[in-house]
Amino acid sequence: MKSRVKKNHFSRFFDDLQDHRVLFKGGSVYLPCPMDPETARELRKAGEGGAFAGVFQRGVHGPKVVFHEGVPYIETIAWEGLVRHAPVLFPQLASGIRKKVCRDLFGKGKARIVLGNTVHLETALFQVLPRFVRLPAWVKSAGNRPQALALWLSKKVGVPERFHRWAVDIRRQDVERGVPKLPGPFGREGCDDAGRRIVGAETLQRDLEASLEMAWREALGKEQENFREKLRPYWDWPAPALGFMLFVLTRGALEVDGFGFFARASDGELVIYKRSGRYALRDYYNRLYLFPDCRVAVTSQDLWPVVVDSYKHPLLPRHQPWQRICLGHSPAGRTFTAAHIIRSLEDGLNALYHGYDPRKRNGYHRLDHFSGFQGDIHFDDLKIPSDDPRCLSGEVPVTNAFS
Amino acid sequence: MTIRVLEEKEKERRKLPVPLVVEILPGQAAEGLLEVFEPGTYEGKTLQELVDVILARQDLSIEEREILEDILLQMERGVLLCAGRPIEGDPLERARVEETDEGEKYYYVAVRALRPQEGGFPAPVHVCEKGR
Repeated sequence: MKSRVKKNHFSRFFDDLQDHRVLFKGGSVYLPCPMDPETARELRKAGEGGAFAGVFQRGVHGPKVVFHEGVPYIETIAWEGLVRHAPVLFPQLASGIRKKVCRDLFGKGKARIVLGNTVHLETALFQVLPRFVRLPAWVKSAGNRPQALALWLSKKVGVPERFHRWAVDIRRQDVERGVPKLPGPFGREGCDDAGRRIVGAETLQRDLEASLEMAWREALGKEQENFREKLRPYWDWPAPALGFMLFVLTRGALEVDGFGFFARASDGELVIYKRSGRYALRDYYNRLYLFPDCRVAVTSQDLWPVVVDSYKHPLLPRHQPWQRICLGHSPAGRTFTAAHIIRSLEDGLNALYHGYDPRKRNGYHRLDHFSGFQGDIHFDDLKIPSDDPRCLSGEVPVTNAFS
Repeated sequence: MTIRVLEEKEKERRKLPVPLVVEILPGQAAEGLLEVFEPGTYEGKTLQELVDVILARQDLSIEEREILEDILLQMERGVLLCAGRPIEGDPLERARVEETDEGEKYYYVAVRALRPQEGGFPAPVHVCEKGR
């Protein structure tokens, strides 16, 4: 039985060309024109200046027809356009070549830096994180504290070994600076306006693949250069520390002991957060309400503390994510510096923990409202017994009992 | 005669002749100013008295001095809280038993110096007073 191999667009395109010879001239591909001899004669008459001439009609540039060894060839597509649109025309081929180039340049890692602003990243990592995470003594006493911190975090979060190897590869390439030069496809070098070549479908296919590979290498090479630029300040760090930086830059997120940050998908802004953990609030009648964990955050754009997750609280207007926490003051004028970030995060946490006064019943909502009389937000589902063992043992602190 | 049954944890807490570690943390910081009180030096004292001892220390390193300044800054308009309550009474009531890497037990009490926030005015509209 004859087996039929399913062909993709690319194979079909070049199979169709198999029986023809293709003329390449001036950066364009000319295909033989299947015309009857009479039309060919007319074209030849219209042609001026020998075998290779353009045909013009009423001053408008039509498709060029050229004669080579008596055969008319018609201009079809510009080589540059074919290469540029190859990912759409031949998606399978383009994806295959991209994967190959990515593998060559980046190994198994992601070929994209998610956290673009390393200044913001360094602020979050080396200045804000030590405030909220307990560090071992050797990190605190280290001469190069950021390096020691990166080294410790690399172990703490379990950065995969491949990031270490990848980072070392990038460093080595930067030192060697020897990017292998590919043989140029004829679309770039082999043919200028004067040059012309008759090529077979196989040559055309091979050259298109080479051009595509070169285009991908150029595009991804820029990204690789971006990697080098971002990692250059840490070149002298040991491989695990360098690998950790690469891990954070490409992953765009980190969380250690309830403190973390991530690059927001919608606008790329850095979101720095601290988890509140579980805590209980007391109402006017001394009843307890257990509040779940939530992330209190600030962004590199706005230092007003917000809740990242969908959350309800007397000091929040609604039950939804990204709400600003009601504070006793405005944090306007704060800039994205470590001191201000810490202050804003602590303001947000303190407001959630200690901001609600059961006697004053301040805020948008009251804890002790009866469900029948209130709007959408009520806290009945959070109510726990006053002798809840978690509160009695101190596992869950009652945070507004001091007022 | 009344018989009172003590929980294992409570029994352990009362009997252990181990050091007491009190740590004052500025704000929501993970690390603060530590003081180790050996057995015999903290019994009969309130948590407030132990905190006063720590805050009155003069032999601080540069790093500890920075933490102390932060604590004092927080305390300007703030409070000292232990497990969400004011620091009053026996420190062991709020202490939990911890172990060093070498397996030595000790009591640990964390005190936070906080500037409690009161729900006020969310920008741009001053509507947070609605609940009052």
